[in-house]
Formats: sequence, structure tokens, C-alpha cells
Amino acid sequence: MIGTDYTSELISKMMHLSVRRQELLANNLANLNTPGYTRRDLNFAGALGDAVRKDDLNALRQLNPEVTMDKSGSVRLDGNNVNAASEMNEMTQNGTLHALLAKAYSTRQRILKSAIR
Amino acid sequence: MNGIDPISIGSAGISPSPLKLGGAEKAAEGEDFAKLVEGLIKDVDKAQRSADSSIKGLTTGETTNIQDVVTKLEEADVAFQLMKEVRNKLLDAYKEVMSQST
Amino acid sequence: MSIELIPGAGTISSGLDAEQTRLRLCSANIANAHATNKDASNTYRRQVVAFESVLKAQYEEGDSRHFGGVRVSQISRDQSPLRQLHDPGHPDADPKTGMVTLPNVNPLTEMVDMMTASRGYESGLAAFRISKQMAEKTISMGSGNA
Repeated sequence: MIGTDYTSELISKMMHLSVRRQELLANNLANLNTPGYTRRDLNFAGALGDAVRKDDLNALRQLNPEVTMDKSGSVRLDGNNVNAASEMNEMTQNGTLHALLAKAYSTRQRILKSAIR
Repeated sequence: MNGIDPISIGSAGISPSPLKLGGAEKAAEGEDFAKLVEGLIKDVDKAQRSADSSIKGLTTGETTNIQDVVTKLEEADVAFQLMKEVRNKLLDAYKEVMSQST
Repeated sequence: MSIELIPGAGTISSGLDAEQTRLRLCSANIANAHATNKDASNTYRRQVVAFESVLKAQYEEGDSRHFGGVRVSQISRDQSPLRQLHDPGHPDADPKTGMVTLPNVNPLTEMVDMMTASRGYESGLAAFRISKQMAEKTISMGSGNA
């Protein structure tokens, strides 16, 4: 497609994944007091890093990391292992990543547009 | 001012040497100009590549330093805008000279 | 998966969690301040929390990046003597002496502890907010509104 390059695709893919992860984190927070709930997470950094290191555009496009059950962290008496503070932290970090990627994308597009003009 | 590099305009740089007239000098002047443009383009390319690699580093987890990523992005932007402006100014000058000669 | 784009945010959130545990134990202590038991030796004892700082695996001397925050190392029972009160009419009173054994909880101490914990929590929140603002400002750097 005209107007897209590897880095742009990488940025949009990462933004997409970070939005999905934000949904999962919100779901974890919503289930803060659900007995027996195990927190869910989307671990995209590993698979994404592999695709980037190989410089493989197809692997990047088809990347679809699975939702994992995170059993780490101390389990409360009701069998729930969601920690509100750490969940909020993850959400903020994820939000920052998204904002940073949005900035990167808009800067790249600005350069591209001014090159066209 | 440690660690802050001024944004250099090409390896050749713009030297404020007075304009020399004469047939013998002409070839050298032309070469300088070509070098200037080439240097500018190379610098812009370098800035964009380093911005791209910092974004890649973010995905592989090599960097978690947001100020580094933002600085490199802005540098790439400024370098490009500067190159564009220099090119526009040169084109304007060329057009002006052309209109005077007629 | 854990990304560290906001410096210190993970550390702060571990502190928030620890302070929350402290607050929870203070409420438990206050709630049980007058809990008695037929068996005097089973009377509620005040719960005390101990914190310890967490160092990340690759800790190097003087490298502040590897401080991982704080965690609750243990929750123990205060072994100081229990309170004795002469109240022969109390159902849990000792039939011979008429003494009731009450928990070693001092509501005033608990209130002060609770205030300290809540101040700690608030300062953690403020620190988190500032870290987040720093990241936001960094991202909007060069956009003309920074």
C-alpha cells in the first residue's frame, strides 16, 4: 500500500495491541472482587520483538498473541490474584506507550505530508 | 552543554565565504553546493533511521526511555523541515537569478 | 508482561499496596479491640505489619534503577501483655477471678497508625501522578504546547 512502510505498520500494530491489552487490564480491575478470578494479560512484547528482529513484515502482520492467565502474584483468600495498585500501574504504563506511539505516528506522517507538499 | 549536539547542516556546512567570481573557481563552487545538498539529505536520512530504530527498540524492549524516542523523533522532524527550507530558499534564489538574466 | 515507560511507577504502586495492607490491618485491629474469648489464651492479639524493600534481580551497587519497591515481609501478632478488666458479669469472664482478658489493642495507637498509612498512601498517589505527568509532558515535547 502506498504511504505505509515497515515502521508505520509496526507502530499501528503496537497501538492495536496496546488497546487490546488496555481492555484486558480494565477487565482485571472490574473483577477485582470476583472470587477465584485469575488475572489475564496480553504478552505481546516477546512475539513482537521476535518479528522485529527478523525484519519480517508478514510475521508482524499476522501476529496475534494469545491472552494468558497470569498466576503470578499473591493469591488472596478468595482465590483472586488481582492487585488494584499494580493493575493501575500497568494501565498507566500501557496508556503512556499508546500516547508515545500516537506521537511517533503523527510525527512520521507530518514529515511525509510535508515531503509531498 | 554536554550531550546536546547542534543540528548540523550537512558535513560540508554553510561557510560564509564571500562569493568569488571567475571561471577557475566555478567548478569548485558547484561541487560545494552538491556536497551541501548531499550532506543535508544524508543527515535527514540518518535522523530518520535513528528515530525508526528507537521505535524498534521500544518494541523489542531494548529501550524504555521515552525522552530518547521523543527527542529522536523531533530531531528527524526538524532536520527534514530544515532541509526543505534550505531547498526552498535555494530554489527561490535560482528563480530570482533566472528572472534577472532575461 | 510489564513495561517500564514511566520511571518509578512500579515502585510507587508496590508502596500503595503495602500501605493498603497496613490500613486493612489497622481496621481489623480496631474492629477487634473488644473481642473476647472463653479461652483467655485465644484472645485476639494486635496484628503488626513489617515492610521490606525489594531489590531487583540484577542489582548493582549504587544503581537506583534496580530498586523494585516495597513489599509486606510478614504480618505478625503483637506479643505484648493483654489487657485485664474486672467485669464478673461478662460472659467470657474468668469464673474464679471475675477478670476479662481483652485484646492488646490501643485504639489511639491504631488511629495514629491509620493516619500515617493514609498519608503514605496519599503521597504515593501524588508521586504516581507526577511521574505520569512527566511522561505526558515528555511525549508532548516539541508539539508546541509543552
